[in-house]
Formats: sequence, C-alpha cells, structure tokens
Amino acid sequence: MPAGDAERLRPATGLRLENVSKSFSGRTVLRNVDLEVMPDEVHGLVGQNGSGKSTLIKVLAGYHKPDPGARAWLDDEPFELGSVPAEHGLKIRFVHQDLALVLQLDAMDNVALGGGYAKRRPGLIHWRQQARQTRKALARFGLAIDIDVPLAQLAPVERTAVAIVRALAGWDEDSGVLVLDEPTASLPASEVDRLHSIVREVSQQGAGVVYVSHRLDDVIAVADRISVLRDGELVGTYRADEVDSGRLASLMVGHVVEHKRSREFAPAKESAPVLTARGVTARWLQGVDIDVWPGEIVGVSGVLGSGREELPYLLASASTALVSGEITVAGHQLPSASPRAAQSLGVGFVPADRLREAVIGPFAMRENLTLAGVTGIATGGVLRQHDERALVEAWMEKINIVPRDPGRPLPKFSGGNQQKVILARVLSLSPKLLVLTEPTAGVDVGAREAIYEVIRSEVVERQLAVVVASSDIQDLVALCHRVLVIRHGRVVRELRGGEVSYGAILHATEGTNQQDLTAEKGAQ
Amino acid sequence: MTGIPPRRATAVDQSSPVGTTGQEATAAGVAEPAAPARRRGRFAWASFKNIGAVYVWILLIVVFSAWTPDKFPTWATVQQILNEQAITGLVALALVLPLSAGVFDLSIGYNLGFCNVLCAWLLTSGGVSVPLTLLITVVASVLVGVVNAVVVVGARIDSFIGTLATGFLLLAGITVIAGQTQIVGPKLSAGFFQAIANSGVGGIDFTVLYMVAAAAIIWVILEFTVAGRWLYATGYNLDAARLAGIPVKRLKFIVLLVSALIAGGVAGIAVTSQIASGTSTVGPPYLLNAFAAAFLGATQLRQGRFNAWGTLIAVLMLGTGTVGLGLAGAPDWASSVFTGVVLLLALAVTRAERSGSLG
Repeated sequence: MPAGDAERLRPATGLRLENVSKSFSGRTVLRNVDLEVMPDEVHGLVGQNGSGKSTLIKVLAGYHKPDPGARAWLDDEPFELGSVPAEHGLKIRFVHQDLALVLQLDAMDNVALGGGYAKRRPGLIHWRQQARQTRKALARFGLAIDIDVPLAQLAPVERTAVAIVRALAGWDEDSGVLVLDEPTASLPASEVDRLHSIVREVSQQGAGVVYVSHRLDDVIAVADRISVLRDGELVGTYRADEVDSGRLASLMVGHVVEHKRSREFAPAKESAPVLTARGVTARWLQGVDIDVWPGEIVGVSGVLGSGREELPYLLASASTALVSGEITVAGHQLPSASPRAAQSLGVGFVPADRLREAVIGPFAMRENLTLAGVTGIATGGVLRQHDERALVEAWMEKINIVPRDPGRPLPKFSGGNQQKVILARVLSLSPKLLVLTEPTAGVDVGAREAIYEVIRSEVVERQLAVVVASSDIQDLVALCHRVLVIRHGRVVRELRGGEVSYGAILHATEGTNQQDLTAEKGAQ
Repeated sequence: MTGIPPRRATAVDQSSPVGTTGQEATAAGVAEPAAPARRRGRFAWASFKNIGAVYVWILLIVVFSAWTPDKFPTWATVQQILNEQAITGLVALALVLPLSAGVFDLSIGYNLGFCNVLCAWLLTSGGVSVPLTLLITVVASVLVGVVNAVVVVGARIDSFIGTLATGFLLLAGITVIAGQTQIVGPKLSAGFFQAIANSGVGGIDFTVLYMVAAAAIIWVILEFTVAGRWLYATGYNLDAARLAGIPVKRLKFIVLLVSALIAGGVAGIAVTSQIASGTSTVGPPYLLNAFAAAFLGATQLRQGRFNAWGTLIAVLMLGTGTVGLGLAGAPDWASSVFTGVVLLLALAVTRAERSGSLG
C-alpha cells in the first residue's frame, strides 16, 4: 500500500512536515519524514522503540533542531522547526506522557498555570471569573469535575482531561495542532473510552490532534488516519478503517532478522526453581505465577501499564505495592519491601531508571561498582583498599569497561559503560537470581551486544537464573529462553524456545493476531 | 522507552544542598559524555579548587599580621583562635556524618545548650557528683538523638522539620532548667570538672584535642570504612542506595545518635567546663556557625563531600577571621558579615567550577 494516499478531509492542511531528518553524532534517527495532519483530524502516530517517534515529537516541540532541508507549514504558513517562536508555539500544544500537572493543586489552578489567571485591578486574581472560565472549559468536554479539589483526588482520566484543557487554554479555535504523547499509558482500560471522546471533541472543534500511543487498538479506535514509523522512516500513512492492529504491528516490525540460536532449555535433573512466584497481585498485577530455573533466562513483556514494569520490583522486594501472593527465592520466602533482605537471599537487581535508581552521581566508577559488595572487601568494617582496586580491575577486564579509569565519576561514562558497572555491582555479589529491568535503556548499539554477552556468559558459567523485564523486545529476543507476556496484569501468553521471536513477542504483547504477520509476510 | 517503575513510598526523601549540587553535576556530566578525563597531576591536591580555604586562611593571616602587627602574629592569638573555636569545631564535626547521609540535625545547638544547663544544674543545685553528672549528661544527649532518630527515621518526618521541632522541645527544657538566670557554683570551676576544658599544653586547651580526635575518628569512618561509603551513597542517592541493599534507615538512625552525642555529650560538657556556668543563651548561636563550617568544609578537599578535615579547616579559617577582626577593633557585626560572605563565595566558586565556567 503506497504511503499517504488517504483522501484529504479538508482543502487546507493543518500541519505539514516535509523531509524531516535528524541525526545525533552521525547516527540517523529520522530520515526524510513527511507528515500531514488535517484540521479536525485525529492522526495516530505509532512505532516501536527507536523508530524515531519521540524524536519527531521533540523536533515538533522545538526541543531538537532537525537537520537542514526540513520544511514545515502550519495552516499553510511556513514556520521553522526546532525553535519555539511564540507564533507557532501558540498553535502547537503538547500534553506529555507525565501530564506535568501539580497534583496538590486543584483543576482551576492547574489550568491557570498554563493560560494565566483572570486578573482584576490591582493585579489580584479574579477568582470568580477564573472559576467560571475553568468550568466552561471543562464543560466543553462534558466533564463535571469539582474544580476545587486537588487533582490527586481525581480519576486518572480526569487528570488527563485537565492537562488537555490546560494545553488548550487560550486556544484559537479554528486552527492549530494538539499533540498527545502516550495519553493512555497510565489509564486503566475502563477510562480509555472517555479519553477518546474528549480527543474527538477537541478535533471536532477544528484542531488537528496528533495521537501517539503504544497501544495499537487504542490508536485505531480513536484515529482517523495513522502514520507508521520504523527505523526513523515513515512507512506510510493509512486510514484507520483500512488497518487492524495486526497489520499495524507487522508494518511497525517490517522484516526483522531473527537471530537463529538455540533457545531450548531444560532444567538440570533434580534441580529446583530458583524463583517461584505464585499469585503475585499488586497495583497492576492480577495474580502472576513464575518459575525460573538455574541457568534459565525468562523474559517479561507487556505494554506500559500492563504490570510488566511492576513485576521486577516485586521480585527484588523493592516495592511496597505487593497486595498478595507468595514469592520464594531458593526455597526461602522473600520478605516484602526490603531490597537488602532480597539481596541476602541471592537476588541481584538492576532497576529501570539507571540515573535515579542505580548510579550514585558524584561517586567514582570504583565506588559505584563496589557499592553493593563492599562488605565483602572489608575486615571489621574497614575497607581493604587493595582488594577493592583488585576487584574493580578484575571487572573492568572481564566486562571491558571503557575508559579504564576507576577514579572517574560514573556519570561521565557512556550509558553502556554505566550499565556494565551497575551489572558488575550486582554480579560481584554472585547472586542466584538476577532481575533485570530495561537492561539496555539508553545504551548504544555496540554496547548492547556486549551487555547481552555478559549476561549470557554469567548464566552459562554460574547457572544463574535471570528475569528480564523490558519494553525493548530486542532485549528479550537476544537473551531469553522463555518469554512471559503480560496484559492487564495477567500472563496471557508463554513463548518457549523456538516460539520466541520479535514478531511473536510483539503480537502477543499488543494483543494482535500472529496470523496477520504470516499473511503479511506471505503477501510480500 | 523506559518503563515507569511502580511508585514507592520514600521515607525521608531529602538531599543536602551539596548533594543537590552533585546531582546537577551528574546531569551535566551526562550531557557531555565526551568531556576529557580530569587531569590528576602531582600537585592537584594543592589546587585552589581543592584547598581554597587554606589559601584564604593564609591570606587572612598575612592581612591581619600587616594590619595589627603588634597584636595578631602572636602565640596568644593562636591560643585564642584554637581555644575559642574548639567547641564550634566539635559541633560542626557532629554535623558531618548526618549531612553526609543527607540528614539535617537542626537540634544540634539546642542539644548543646540543653546539656550545658543540665550539666551545670546537676553539679550545683542537683548536688550530683562529677562522674555521675558526666554520665547523666552523656546519656541525656544520646536520648535526644534517639528522639530525633525516631522522629526522622521511625515517623518518616523530614529531618529538616523534625529536628527543628525537637530543637524547640529542647529549648523548652533549657528554659525549665535555667530560666533567665546563670547557673554558677564552686563545683563548676574547680577540680577535675574545671580541668576538662581548661587545662592543656602550652596554653592550648584539651578541647582542641577533643576536636582533633573527633575529626580523626570521623575521617577514618568516612574514608576507610564500609559505613562511610554507605553514608555518602545514602546522601547522594537515597533510592539507589536502598536498591543496592544498603541499610539506609539504620544508617540514618545511627548518625543522628552520633551527632547528638558529639554536640551534647562532648561539646556540651566541654563548654560547661570552659565557661564554668550554665546559661540558656549558650547553645543556639552554635547552630549557624557549625552549619557554615560544615558546608564550607564540604567544598574543601573532597569535591563536594562533607568531610572532617575540610570542616576543621573551615572552622579555623572562619575563627581566624573573627578573632583577627576583633583584634583589629572592627565593629561587632563585622565577623558575621565575614562568615556570610565567605560562605556565599565558597559555594559560588564551587558551583561555577562544577558547571565548568571556571577552572
């Protein structure tokens, strides 16, 4: 199907982008992307991690400057990308994934933070008028929100609505574009429909809406047209009624070179699982069972909000969210909310957000590496500095940390080397179970394979059991013997051995049909 | 895209200002991964960046020696600076461990004041023997630390606010014991008790020895022990420290006990012996001076880490300025201006160096 063949809904284009490219230090992340968003259209934007989706949004927001040659029009007026002049800044509005609301304040204040307060002389806030304006803006979307209670007390979808109303404050009604970045990411399924009607309301009032989402059925339900990005290029723009989620998933994946390697795993005779979890229920999870055997790597896949991101924190006892369920490690029950206790049972944990949860900022690489295992190189609480140096040397050698400068602050290392240091920190404790979250986030392509190799060799050498929870399917394909797919808090699919492939994981994660992929491949 | 980890309740999510600076430096470091490795030459330790306060100190000595050549460059001045600053030094050192772990102890000056009046009252109106008085005072100071720790670690109240509140409670205790009067008595200025702070070698009081000993102990803890590594990690990144299996709660609990012991038990008794009285106004003024020295000390030697010797240098440098100004006949407010300006400049210079616009 050729790109961009959908009929125009209106003579004038709302937003038009032509030939947008962007490269970072030689690596191209966006290549000649064209995009058209009509007024009163909801335009879906989908793509896997690294497809260039978020870079495109950031170019539009003026955060990144595109490479020369890019052109852009808004309501047929040309404008320059990569800067935020008041002119088009006022016409392109953004609601980011985290909504950027102040939850302690009420809806009225939050809306006013975007559009300013109604004033009366001499510079005081005209509260009554402000309240009237806020109610009116919310009423447009059929929302009867109490504008005097802190947002923390509202439903998630109501908070999203307040963020949209704020983004639209002072909106010139007949033109402009509203960009929604993953608006359903933190919404329960039951509230998604309400959000859709709000989004349609916005577009019916004359605004173009760019709707970015990981959830394909979500995009299809709300969008008029959908653009698919893959590897920085626009695959095409399709009418929503022409595609289903299976076809979209196939378009997003394209032709993936599947690594042929043995994924068969059989637990050694008379061995017991290192990890046994039964009925794990927490904020998102609704009763998940897992067994992981020595020497086995089990992946966990799921879209944001499925419970995938919650599970590793529970397995490492790093979360207080556990409601019920039993987790045992090497035969011992895992205590709740004590990473230290989990560590002493042999659980090594690499958290998702490296900078906030793993790296000790001003610490040297050496101090970061030995942080968890520091008691092992101390006598009576006093560090044996020679042993510490030797330990760091050994790990630098073993997993090739570059540059070999133990005194350098860890944040000055590249993402890949930072992650290697964090891995070394955990592996130096000789854990029985390794729980990895987003093991290659912010890691460049070369270091990725090195990190996979470190994990694989530890598994082979020490019969380590590993759980990998990642939003990056590549991680799971590269590492796992078995992949559990979580949707709405439950394991809906278990892929074993030869079944593990990029396409299979993606389809199971998105809840689309594997058949579509085969059909697509057959057709090509 | 990075998954959002489940939100967890954080106990006392607070980092010290210096810790914050460190995190900003982190962000800058990430933005410029290609920054060249820092030069570590043979004399890097002597750079202005590393020991700027020492240079300022030398400059002060030169300036005051030239200003008042007959009064300043004398052994008596050295005695005065050391003996006067020893108590401030002890209180500042008491802050080093909690601040390293990202915990504020604002009750520290009141704790010192409380122990001062308690100790004086026990020896005079209380009629208690000297050894028992010392024991009771030390136990009382540690109990104050326990209360602080229960408030901050147990009840998860922000340490800045929690210790501010316990400080007020101590102030009430001070007023109950001392009222508006000065507690004096023969036992306060005689015998062993008088000797605690007022005897020494060559005119240098033993309080200076206590200060140096405290600095040495804290230095060893922070630089050479597991606990020290853990304390800094906790102060810099509480979440990462916790997830790395560090017992952050236990550490915070212990450092609040230690700070209370040094400020109340050690400095409180020493100050009582030194001034041979108990007065409600003794303790509180130490708070600001001690914090100033601890923060200034963190800019010295260890690039942003709170540390013992840096704190000691800061105390003595600030003390030299104060004493020098006094000898030069400067007005009373001059020394406060001096301390405030030095603190601002030190932090501004450090910040500028970190963000790369200097050095």
